[in-house]
Amino acid sequence: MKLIDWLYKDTPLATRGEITPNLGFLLTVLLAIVWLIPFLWMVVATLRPASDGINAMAELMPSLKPTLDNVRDAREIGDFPRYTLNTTIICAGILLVQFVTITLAGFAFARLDFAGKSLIFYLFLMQLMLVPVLLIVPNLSLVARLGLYDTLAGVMMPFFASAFGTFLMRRIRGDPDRARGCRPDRRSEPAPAHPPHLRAAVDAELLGLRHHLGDQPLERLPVAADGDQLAGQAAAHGRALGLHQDRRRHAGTGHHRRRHADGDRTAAHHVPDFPEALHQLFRHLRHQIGDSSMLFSRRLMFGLAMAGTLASALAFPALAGEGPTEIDLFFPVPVDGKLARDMGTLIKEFNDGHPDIKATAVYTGSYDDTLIKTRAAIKAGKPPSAVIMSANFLLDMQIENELTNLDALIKADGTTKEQFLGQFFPALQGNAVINRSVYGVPFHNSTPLLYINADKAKEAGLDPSKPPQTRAELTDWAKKLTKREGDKVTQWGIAIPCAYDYCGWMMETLTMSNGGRYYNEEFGGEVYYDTPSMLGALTVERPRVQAQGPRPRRHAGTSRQHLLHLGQCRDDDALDRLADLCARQRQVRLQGRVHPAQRPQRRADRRRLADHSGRARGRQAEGGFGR
Amino acid sequence: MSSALRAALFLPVLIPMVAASALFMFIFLPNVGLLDYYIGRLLPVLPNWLGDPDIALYAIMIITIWKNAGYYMLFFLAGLQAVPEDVMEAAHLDGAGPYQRLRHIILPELKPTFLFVIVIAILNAVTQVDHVFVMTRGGPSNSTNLVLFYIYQQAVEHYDVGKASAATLLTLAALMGLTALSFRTMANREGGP
Repeated sequence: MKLIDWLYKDTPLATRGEITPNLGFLLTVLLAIVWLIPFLWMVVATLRPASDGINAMAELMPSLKPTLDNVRDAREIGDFPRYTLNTTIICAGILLVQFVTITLAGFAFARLDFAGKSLIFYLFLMQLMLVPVLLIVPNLSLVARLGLYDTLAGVMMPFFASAFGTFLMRRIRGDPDRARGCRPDRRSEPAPAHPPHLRAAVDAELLGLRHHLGDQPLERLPVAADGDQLAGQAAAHGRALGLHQDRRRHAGTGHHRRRHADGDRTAAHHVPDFPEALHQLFRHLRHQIGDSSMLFSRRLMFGLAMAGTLASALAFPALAGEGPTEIDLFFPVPVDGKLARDMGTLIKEFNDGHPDIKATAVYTGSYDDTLIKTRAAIKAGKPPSAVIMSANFLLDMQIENELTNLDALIKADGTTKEQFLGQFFPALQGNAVINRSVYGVPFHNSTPLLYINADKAKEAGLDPSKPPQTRAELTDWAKKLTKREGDKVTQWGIAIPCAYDYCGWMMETLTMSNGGRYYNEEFGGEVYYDTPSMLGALTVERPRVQAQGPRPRRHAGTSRQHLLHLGQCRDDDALDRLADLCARQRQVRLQGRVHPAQRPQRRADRRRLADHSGRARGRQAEGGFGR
Repeated sequence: MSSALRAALFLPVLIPMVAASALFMFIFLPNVGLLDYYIGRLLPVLPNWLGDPDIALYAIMIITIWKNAGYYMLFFLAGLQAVPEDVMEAAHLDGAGPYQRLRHIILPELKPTFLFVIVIAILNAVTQVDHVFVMTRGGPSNSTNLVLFYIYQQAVEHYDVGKASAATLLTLAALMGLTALSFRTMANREGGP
């Protein structure tokens, strides 16, 4: 009973007899529990040993043998002190700079009148709505052009000015009337009197300032608008302060201007000019900060100095003059996990064997991120010496003149192209060669595997020890493994992954096994999307190649994210995209890069994709078997 | 007690969208994920939450709701607390039932809150893309593609800066309209009758 009384302590007496509050309370509790489940699961999963297996992954009951192994792994693999330090530096740096930018900008919006104020205000508004994601590309290229790529200062820079912060400052420093919530029509009360000490401080400041500015005549101040006599400097300044506030209140309404125009003074005295703006700034700084201003400015200067030092320290991390040649090696995420650690070992071995060179391995995210970062680094004039990336990008980069032809280096090494390539499997050699010149070194390759769900195969009366050998057999398997309930397919017979750029990869194999070509091996950029072999691979597969059935459980070496993408993609997607591509085929510009010898050949049946998206997709083809 | 409940509902607001998405990836994982593990047992056919073009968008909606509900709750909390007590008391004295109080007092009082939250929610929906980025990358069959992700795809994946810029401008125009609307509702809320 006591509990119930306590629960009801906030409820109005009249509702206590009703059922709705109880119902609402119950629902809220249920909702809160549902809301908390993901968090609960996170905690449970943290303490679950890996030995519990993937099937117990979702179990909400804590494991019987809880372990802190996961926490330890996370701590070992992630460099938390470093991350924390980075975060702190970034936050502090941004805050320090923002402190200056947003207060000044907020002040300008709140207190100053200038041409185009509302336009600039709306431009600021726009920044609020632009999502950082949208600005990644422009920001990246800007930062790269400033030479701040790959520095913490570069990360901070886009956030130095903040529209949100400016609005915040603008509101805080806003019109005192408005801050008090007065409507414009009621804003006629006298301005709050300034405490005497403040007034004295302002006077002193103004005198000092006037001195600095070359002793402007007093009339430059917006005093005496109504013909008041100047009884003495101090008094005049006191009035200037009051008048100025009065004036500001009418700013924007055109009042003051009309009033001044009616007077016998020239307009020049009333248009705010630079020294006056400075006066205003000072006055308001004084007004806001009062006596602690010296402290304020010292702190501000200290902050600025700190920010400057920090920025320069971060921007030029390697200003060391003499020393070994420093080179960078970019590597992407498919080289993650254990391979990433091996990368460290490889680099160490290299550095130990080459004391005059210091190589650094830089982890650069996914394949696409790696490409973006590489290009940004090239634009920034700091290209990495070597990049591990998708073989698919090679041709595009060669076309853009971003790769070094390795033939000369191989010759300088005293070997021949054939000897150099002879170190690799023939299947991999294609990855390294463009237009018969070597542009890359095969590093690692993926091979698509067909997984068979033996249980499902047995269920369907198929022998999993004798997997399909021919297309006909594969079709037969897929058909037998597909289960339908009415129109809805409950189990697909075969899944062909096509997330990311796997579509092209898979389509390539289908086309080649159909006896066709996907692209011109001699001249990259020419693709055969509308040849009979290709269309045959596309259309013959179409009715049967539907995804989903015996799903690949685990793709060796891929992360869980890949697993999900494998699981969720449908080949429908691929086929639709390819069909779309075929439909949109048109003559390619190819930007004058057609090999002269090939220009006259087969022009009629040569179809290339014109636009960039076409090229991006076409690129998928060039990797050969490599990935 | 009520503050504990509030905290429970507000907790998701505190974690970044990317982290929430990564969490929900596991929740939606086919067969072995949290959702399939428990709810899936009740259903004859396990839905492929993120893999079925018919369902994926709803899955994305679920995470958005989970993530943002607490945030909007704050506005409604403020709105509910702003319902004048004397009016409620008068309603009690006049013997108004729960439904009548809701229909004739609380909902009308909450109208500005609703408007405000709707605008904010739309803005949020348009400007949040992290979950799509992490969970589905717009797939399957573009069923979860959003404007923002489309722009990203055009700009970063297809290098079609022109198309991306055009889409950005269109989005911006729509957002400007929305913001104007939101300012109006906010103005109504602050100073309107």
